[in-house]
Amino acid sequence: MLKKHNEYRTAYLMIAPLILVMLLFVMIPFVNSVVQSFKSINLTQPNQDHWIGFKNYADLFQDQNILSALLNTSYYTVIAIFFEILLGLLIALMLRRAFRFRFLVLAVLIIPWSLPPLVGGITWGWIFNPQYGILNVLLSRMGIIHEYQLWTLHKEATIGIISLVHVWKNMPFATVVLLSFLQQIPKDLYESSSIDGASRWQSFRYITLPMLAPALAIALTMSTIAAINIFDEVFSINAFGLETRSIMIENYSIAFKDLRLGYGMAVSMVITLISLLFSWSYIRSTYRKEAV
Amino acid sequence: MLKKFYVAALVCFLSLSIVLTGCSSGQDNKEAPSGTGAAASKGDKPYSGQTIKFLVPTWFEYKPEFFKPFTDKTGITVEQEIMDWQQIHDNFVTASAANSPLADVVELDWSWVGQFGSAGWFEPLNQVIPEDVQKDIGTLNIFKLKDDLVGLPASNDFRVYGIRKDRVGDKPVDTFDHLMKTAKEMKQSGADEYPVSMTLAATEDLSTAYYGLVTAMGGRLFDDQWNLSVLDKNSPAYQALTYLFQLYNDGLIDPKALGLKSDEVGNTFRSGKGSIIIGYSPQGQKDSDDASKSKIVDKAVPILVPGKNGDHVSFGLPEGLGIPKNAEHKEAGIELLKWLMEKDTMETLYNDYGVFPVRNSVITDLFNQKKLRYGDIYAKQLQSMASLFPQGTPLWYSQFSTSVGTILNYGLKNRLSVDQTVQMLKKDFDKIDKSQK
Repeated sequence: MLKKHNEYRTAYLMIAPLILVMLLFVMIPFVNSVVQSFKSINLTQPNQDHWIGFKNYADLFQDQNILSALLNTSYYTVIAIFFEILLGLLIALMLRRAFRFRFLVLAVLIIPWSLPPLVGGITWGWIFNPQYGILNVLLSRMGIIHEYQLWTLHKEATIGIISLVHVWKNMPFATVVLLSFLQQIPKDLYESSSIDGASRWQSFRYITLPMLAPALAIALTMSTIAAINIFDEVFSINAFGLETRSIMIENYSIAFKDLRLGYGMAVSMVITLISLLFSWSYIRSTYRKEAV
Repeated sequence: MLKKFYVAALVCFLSLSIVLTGCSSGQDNKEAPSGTGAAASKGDKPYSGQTIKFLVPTWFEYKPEFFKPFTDKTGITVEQEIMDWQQIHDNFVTASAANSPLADVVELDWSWVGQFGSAGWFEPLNQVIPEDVQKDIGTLNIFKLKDDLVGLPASNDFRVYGIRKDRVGDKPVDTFDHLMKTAKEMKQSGADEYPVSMTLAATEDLSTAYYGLVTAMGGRLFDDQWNLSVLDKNSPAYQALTYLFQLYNDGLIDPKALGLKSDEVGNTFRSGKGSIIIGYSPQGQKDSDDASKSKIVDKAVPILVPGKNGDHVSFGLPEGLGIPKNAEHKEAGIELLKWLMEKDTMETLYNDYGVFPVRNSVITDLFNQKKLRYGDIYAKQLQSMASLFPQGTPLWYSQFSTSVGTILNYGLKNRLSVDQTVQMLKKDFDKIDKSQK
């Protein structure tokens, strides 16, 4: 009994530094943010903070800019999830097989993900620039366009461009996660199914996909969170443009440009809640399937 | 087992030490505060040996030798930190909210004065800058908030218009009707596909370009009770918006301007596209005359802002510098501001870096020495400067201005009518908490 007690004590001591760091840098700021989201805090009016209950939350659900930003974010999220998972899975399936320069391909694939988000955003901003962008230069030299274009003139095109940049940046992560799980699937399973006469599609449907469920949950969760938090890509390509503004751009504008911190915190809380709901539903459905 | 426990305890203790050391870093290396006793003992260089941080945007980046005379004179070393303009805003907000020192002398844009001044983040400078210098600075009032001078203008940014004299020739552009007529004639004759250059991107640049049109047409953005002037169809604010939409809808402005910031529009103009540029500046003219940056050397000239009834009203957009309340070396920072306000320093800044002086006497001197090209135009324009907010810059300016830039951009992009755009502006304006005084 005493031995077990000592083991627990050791375990707690070992994880204590992590818990301490989490407390200091995650939990305390989080609780502080929750409290502040119920207050009216404007940095231009120091020492005038006051408790306003749910007013910030009530206001934000009537704020057209926030609702429009949430709608735009949902577009980014749907497009990002679809392409990141689909392309990630296809590339992971291709990379599962051994071929020459496989590791080189893998290394190149990782580059967009490893770049700081703003660097990627600025680079793509240059590519699509209406004045000197390489896309205009190339298409013009090929005779496809006769004059340089403003690619962000229409909302749908701009959302497509921003989503493309986001997928380019985040798809490698989904690929790597899926690939790591793919490589763990025992080859015996495929051999057995082959002997039993299963087609390629059946092997994929009944072996690969179920075995990939935890990886898909991770990839889906990360893709969703990244898409909900989309910022640099939107800002670099269309700045504060109303028609493409994401919820994080709106939040930044409220908190850092308007200095309305209380309201900004409330928006942050809603974003966090949405992210948590998605993550929880993915993980729950995965574990439910595993249990079955 | 006991050994395991001690190892775990040691790991825990070390981690805690690292965390706490990290939290307290920055407290150890502070120099001793420069009190009057220390100052007295150092004679005429009371702050000698101090190093101050000078945080400014790219366009205020000076060569290290620029500060040498200042260091020789005061013994203070200046460490420049260059950052993107928007990043300075965000970093300064974060640092000030956390009461953490960011720099000793910081960029203070005119549009930040209301917000930062009312938050009390800048040291009042009324008493530290000599009165004769204050009187010599035409745009000083823009940096005042409730009589507190929260910063000093460092670059006299104001707007004129520019034309390509080789294309526009003698065609008149002194009123807005003339400008429209001239631009249309140029387009119809094929002389220029998009004769008018101006930014229409969803940024602050578009907001200020619109404000420029409003003031030039003799109007104001708000009445005395802070009601939005553009809601009145007879107001210059409404006419300015109609004019802007007409320029775009008639194909006189390149649609690509919807995605180009003002510096990019300037570059396009300098590459030879466009004949009339709205929102031009002395710095822009200097760049147009610089063969390394321009294909239109000696072809572009600044002109007075067009107006009504012979008026040529513009407004100032000066960029300034201030001393943050939590700066570590406030006195040394003030010394730098004083030096930057000296006539010789301003002349060097204009000659070597193109920074347009903020002191009227320096502008006159440069003009008399024939060093200020087009000085007669600038001097005349400076005599007709309106205040954008005669009642003082509102605290919610930033929120309002972001709305204006993004909504105008949205209205133009989506071909909304002027009235639809005005309704969007009204809706956003109604949301602003204007109880903040």
